[in-house]
Amino acid sequence: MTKYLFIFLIICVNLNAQFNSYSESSSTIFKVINGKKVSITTTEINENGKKSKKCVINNYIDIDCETIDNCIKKNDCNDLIKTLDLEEKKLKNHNIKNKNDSDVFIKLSINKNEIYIGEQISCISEIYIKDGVNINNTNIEPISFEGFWEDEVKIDTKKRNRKIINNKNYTVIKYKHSILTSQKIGNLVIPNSSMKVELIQKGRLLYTDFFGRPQYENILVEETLSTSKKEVKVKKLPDPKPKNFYGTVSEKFSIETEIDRNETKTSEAISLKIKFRGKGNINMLQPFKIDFPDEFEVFDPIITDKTYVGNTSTNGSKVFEYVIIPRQKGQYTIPSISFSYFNPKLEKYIDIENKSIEINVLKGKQYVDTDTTQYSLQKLELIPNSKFNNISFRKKIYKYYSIVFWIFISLVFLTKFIVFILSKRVIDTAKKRKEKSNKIAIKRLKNAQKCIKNNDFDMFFEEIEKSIWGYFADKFNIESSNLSKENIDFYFTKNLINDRLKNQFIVLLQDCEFARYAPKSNHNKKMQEILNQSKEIIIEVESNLKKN
Amino acid sequence: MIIFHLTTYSSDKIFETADSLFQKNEYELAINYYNKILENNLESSEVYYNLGICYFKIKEYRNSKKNFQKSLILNPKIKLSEHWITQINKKINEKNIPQMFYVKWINFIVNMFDTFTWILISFILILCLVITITFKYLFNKKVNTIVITLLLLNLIVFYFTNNKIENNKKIFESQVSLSDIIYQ
Repeated sequence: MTKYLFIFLIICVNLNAQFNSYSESSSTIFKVINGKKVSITTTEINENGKKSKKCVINNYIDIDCETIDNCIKKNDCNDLIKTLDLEEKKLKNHNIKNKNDSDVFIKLSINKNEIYIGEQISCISEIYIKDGVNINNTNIEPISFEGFWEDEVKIDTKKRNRKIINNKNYTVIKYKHSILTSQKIGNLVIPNSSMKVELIQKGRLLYTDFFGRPQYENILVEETLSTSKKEVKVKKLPDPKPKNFYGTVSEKFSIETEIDRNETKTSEAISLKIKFRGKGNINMLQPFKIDFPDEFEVFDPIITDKTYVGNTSTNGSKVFEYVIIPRQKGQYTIPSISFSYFNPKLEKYIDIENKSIEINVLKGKQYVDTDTTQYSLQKLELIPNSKFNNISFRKKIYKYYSIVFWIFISLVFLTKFIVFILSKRVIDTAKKRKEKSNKIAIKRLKNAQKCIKNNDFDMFFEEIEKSIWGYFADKFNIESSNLSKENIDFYFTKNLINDRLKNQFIVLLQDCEFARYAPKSNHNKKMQEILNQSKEIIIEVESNLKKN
Repeated sequence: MIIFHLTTYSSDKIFETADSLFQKNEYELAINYYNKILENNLESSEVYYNLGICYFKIKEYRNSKKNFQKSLILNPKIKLSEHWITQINKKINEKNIPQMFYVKWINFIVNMFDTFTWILISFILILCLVITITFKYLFNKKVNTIVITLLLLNLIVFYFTNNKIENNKKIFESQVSLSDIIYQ
């Protein structure tokens, strides 16, 4: 339907134009002059055959007239600027006059003026905007609350309320909501807070649009809004304070304890939860001392903060979770926890208490000795005496130990040494003779060898005889007076030397004896033979003896 | 011998009175009583331990530590003494100097027995040496390796024992210096 109406209207306008023979064509040029945007609109008008040109300058600040020579004359241009400048000034004045103080304002409101220390107040900052006033940009300066602990409430800035003040409609937007906990006694001041706002105001008429509606220029007017100071009187809590008061100021408060089990074994952990629930400065609550039995090892509590910030105070719960490890078996009670808080409404302290908890500890694992933590709870206690020792005795032992030790060791080795020397001496006569017998025999045989070279016939046989007899005497420890052929027989059989060797031995001795008295003709040959024989015999006897 | 028994009897009494004084929180008097036992030429690890506890109570930590050390020397099985020594070290800010591994091992071996046991062991080893050597001469057997190992063992044990005795002497004979008292 609207579509058809639109087409109809266009046709009507065209018809009208043909009747009056009026045509208008305009072109707009945007130019930047001296850093400012200027739009020059040239309108050519054809009215009943007459053509005329018209220039409109939308933005008239600091126009260089030479650049728009084509459109308008220089002088005209200058005049135009002057008039437009005047117009501008007028408009500005008009705007300032027109602006109403109560168009836009901000307000900071608190719910209480007189509180106790630790009590909470809510502080709300709101902006009031009159209907029809447009705001472009806001710049909120942060507020510093001195002497207060601030918890901010999450707010939805899109949420708007309506309020009627002095028969005028206002849109109210809450832009800051905080819960303040007082921490100082005295008159506390919440200082001015300010906000910069850019207001959009109607300016000069720019043009009328296609449908004849006027289009105005938007002028941004910056403005600082501020709130007034607020004073809050913070009072001291009344004396005397109860013993179990930990600074909690609340209108409603409760305490709950929860234990995961009542029966456990030694060195097994139990968890004890103490739950504080209520309104007020519960978020400030810190763990306090609880009298656990001495046999319990208690670790620092794990704090879980489940508080949230409500409209006028913080609410919720705070949980202290204690991990307890009993170190000794027995029946124990965790005493009831008494807790006091101040109720600002009733203006008095209120005591609350929970039930005491019974814990039965059975014997569990033994601790490892190296674990020193088990003693951390051990009391400083004396131990009974067992047995006294003599101090001087101990001192003597300390003094003489090393001397006695060295004396003993040296005594042992001295006796060993003496025994060693003595044993050497006893062995010397018989054993040493036996060991040296070979060497002596060989020495003598060497002498005999020399005799062969010198052709000393008598000396040779003497040496051979001596060497063999000497060897025999040394080997079997026989005195020289007992040397005889019967003895050879006896000792050789005793030492299990075979008969052949025994006979050879005896024959050699006989040969030596005969050779002394034999003729000198073939001495040299005989000498060499006997020497070789005696050498062989000694070697064989030696090997025979070793075998046995 | 009779005199010794008499003194032990009276010392037992003194020990008990010191105990009761401690229960009445009169620590300094208790310390005096314990010292009387020591003056009677008698000692025990328990006396030193209790002295340590008393000194701990009146916060004379240096004295306390010394006494705990003495009690440990006489009876290395008192683990509580070790515990208190570490506690005192924490209180007087004395840090345990970290030791090399071999020092740790040596300390571990040395602390296995008390001093008297070590002395006994060393003399038993000497006896073993004597027996092996006599065996050698009686039965004419070769025992040289055994003798050498026994000798080495003897020397090692002697080293440990002597070390321990020297340390003990240091602890028993040193006095708490004036600077330590001021430091407390």
